[in-house]
Amino acid sequence: MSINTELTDDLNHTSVKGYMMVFGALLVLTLLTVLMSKIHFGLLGNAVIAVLIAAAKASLVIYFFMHVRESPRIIGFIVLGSFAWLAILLLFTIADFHAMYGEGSTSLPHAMPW
Amino acid sequence: MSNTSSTSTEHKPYQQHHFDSMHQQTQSTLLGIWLFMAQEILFFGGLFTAYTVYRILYPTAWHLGAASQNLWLGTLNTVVLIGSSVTIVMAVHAARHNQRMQVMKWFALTLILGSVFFGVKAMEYGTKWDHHMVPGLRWDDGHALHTIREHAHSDTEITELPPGIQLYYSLYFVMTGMHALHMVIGFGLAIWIMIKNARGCFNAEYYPHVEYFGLYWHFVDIVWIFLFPLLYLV
Repeated sequence: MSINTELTDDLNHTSVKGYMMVFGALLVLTLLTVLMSKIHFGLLGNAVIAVLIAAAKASLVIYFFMHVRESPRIIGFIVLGSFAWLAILLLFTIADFHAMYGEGSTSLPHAMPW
Repeated sequence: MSNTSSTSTEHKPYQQHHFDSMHQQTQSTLLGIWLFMAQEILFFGGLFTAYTVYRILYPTAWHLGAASQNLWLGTLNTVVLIGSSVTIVMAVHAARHNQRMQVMKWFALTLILGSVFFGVKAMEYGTKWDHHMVPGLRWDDGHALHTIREHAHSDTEITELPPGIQLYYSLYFVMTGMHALHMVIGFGLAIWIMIKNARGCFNAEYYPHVEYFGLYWHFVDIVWIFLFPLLYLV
């Protein structure tokens, strides 16, 4: 499981150097997400790009900072399981609402006072 | 895992009586805290689902709402919170190496960065209050329209508030508020753990409070990693 000796210590824990590299990557991705929001890919396109970059950042935090890399395998299953459940909730809701009310659909919701 | 030497029958003072070994205790508590994390993911998942539904229903409100946020304060807070994730992972690293003073130092830095985040957040909330953009408490269509028009980067003049704009701000306050509440709880936990650390409750073999607080704090960081682009950028 060890990546290489520089980035892990003798107990296969991530080293300080490894943490700093993850920190650098998180800062670069933060800059990237701000820059990408300045370019127009359409309302949906920008949202998808932003969520993908956020997911990449979250994965780095979970895998390295939250020590899933060096934890028992069942912890990884719990992480994947929770996000799989969240994906079911989100994707089916999006599919449903997008089909009914998304861009280009004719059945707009009733105008609400708020 | 070759590191099973902790399964020895020797009974450590910090081993709870209902666990057979330190190894079993560590594995069980780690599993428990991760199940709590799973619950937290689904708790915030509900809020993100509400966000998504109303975003589909009111795309213009969401677009103009995000444009009305202060991008630089949001970016600053993102960097600050990522920084606090690094300081807390360094605290865990120090705990693993039995460096009690270092644990103290990194926890203190984490609390300082957390305070900076709160300061910036308070400024942002204050601006919304001044602009009459707090749904349910202090909302005024005229003021809100003026602020949104000022921030919108569109060529067409905005003459009226988009439908659903108060829903955007309601969700903004609920989601960032829930996130901030988690941070307040984190502050309390951090101080409690610093006291335990000062009393010498932890060593290189036993530091679950430090490790699990780290997991909690990283989770709060992850929530913000998603909140920032969804509320400020798109």
